[in-house]
Amino acid sequence: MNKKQLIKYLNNELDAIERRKTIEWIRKHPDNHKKFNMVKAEHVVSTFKNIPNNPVNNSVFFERFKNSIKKRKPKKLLLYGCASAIVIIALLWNSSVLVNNSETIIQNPQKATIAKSDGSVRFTTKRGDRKEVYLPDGSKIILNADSQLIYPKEFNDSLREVTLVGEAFFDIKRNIYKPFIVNSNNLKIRVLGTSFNVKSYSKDKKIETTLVTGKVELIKDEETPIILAPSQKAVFYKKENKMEIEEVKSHDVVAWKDGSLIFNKTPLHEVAIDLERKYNVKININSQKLLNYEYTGTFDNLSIYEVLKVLTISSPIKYSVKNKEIKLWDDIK
Amino acid sequence: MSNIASINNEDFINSINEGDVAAFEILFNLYQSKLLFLASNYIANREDAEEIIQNVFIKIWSKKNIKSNLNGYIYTLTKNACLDYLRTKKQQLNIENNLLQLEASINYNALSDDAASLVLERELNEAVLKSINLLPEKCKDVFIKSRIEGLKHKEISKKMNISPKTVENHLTKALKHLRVSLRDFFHFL
Repeated sequence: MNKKQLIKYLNNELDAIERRKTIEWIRKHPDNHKKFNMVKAEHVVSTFKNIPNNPVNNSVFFERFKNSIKKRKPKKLLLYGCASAIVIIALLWNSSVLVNNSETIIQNPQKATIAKSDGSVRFTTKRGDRKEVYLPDGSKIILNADSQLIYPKEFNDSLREVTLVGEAFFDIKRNIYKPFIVNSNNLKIRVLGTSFNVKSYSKDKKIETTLVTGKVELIKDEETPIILAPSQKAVFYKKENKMEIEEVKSHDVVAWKDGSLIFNKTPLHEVAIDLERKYNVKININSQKLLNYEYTGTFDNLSIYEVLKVLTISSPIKYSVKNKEIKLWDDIK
Repeated sequence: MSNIASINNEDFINSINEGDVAAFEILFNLYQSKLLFLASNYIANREDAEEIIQNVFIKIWSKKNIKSNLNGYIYTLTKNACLDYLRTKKQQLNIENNLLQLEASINYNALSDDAASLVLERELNEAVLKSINLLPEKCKDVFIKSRIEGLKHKEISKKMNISPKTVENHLTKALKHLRVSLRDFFHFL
């Protein structure tokens, strides 16, 4: 085989058949391999000059590197410690009588997981629920209310793939040989090892992905992936088929996993949806003005009554409760 | 014209070994894009190549154990990291995509070939020196004196008979130039 053909192969200019033929030729004899090795090395160094010169803000990249060496060691130790502690608690839980506590994260794992015939597991939460699940690779996922996660009993050799409807916080074990992919609607989120939050309820108009640490790639159809930096949130508007990136306080976005809700200029109708899911209530807003009223505030592990009280104190809002139905109306003078 | 022949300057290496962030940043700027380019020629997945190179720098930083041959040290770390990766890839049976596995195996052999590897190591060194030597003359002199030889601004100003402010300006310009070639894959910014 001549050098020209090998260079075509290196430049990815061959069709599948020719490509396979070239690979077979290389593997056929050590001498062929030797020739290829040198052609390849020379080709690589001859293209050194092609490394593009894009004036970019790369101090960001070095900063990120500095951060990664800062966090590295203590974080790892802490993670292992936490992981083993949580596993032990979960094991104890399984063998003991169910303790009734509305804020317990793992209430009854058996009830929540359904093994499906194709070897995958479906993990669900109801309204008012919040549950934690460990995947076969040790990654931790906290599922928010009214959500569903489907994952295989065993991951395959090259990929860790799960499907999410609803909201979840992912803390993914690093494994560069097996990327982790979350499928949600027609959005794919690809990571190697990182923590991030995905909010993707089928009734919501948008899908929100917020990166806490590490790096994630959002892949939509055949488009170039969008890469998020920590504390960035990608909002995908389903109807408009459009993506926007915002800077956020990622701590606020994932506060729900510790029982808090933090809103920052959030329209009240969105606040109401989050409250409905968390407290398993129905909320009616009886005023056009209130629907788009922007609420800013924190509900730190409050009961729904405390939440309502905070709302009336901090905002021009009045409420009434009947059964599980809450009515809000405006008190704007 | 005073072209730099090697960056194996004792002061520079010592600074890095002592954990001097500024010196390390220079090393990072000089090598990162080139190593990534090298690695991604042998590793099909771009993101994995990126991870590997990131880890190479983490290793350099945490070991702080560079001996006299800086280029050789960095190249060997990179090569070994790539080989480790390819070793798992070529052993990973993947029925759907047997071709990827074969290519990982080919690339493993290609990178562990000593003669070919020597070419890569030598040319990496050349490319790094070239990126320094491409700097405008005065800029380059100041950069080498300050960042490689570790002279103070005052000493450079005296030696080159220019004001300390000018030294500063040349240095800023040099660092900017070197950074420009750093991130070819930062396409999302």
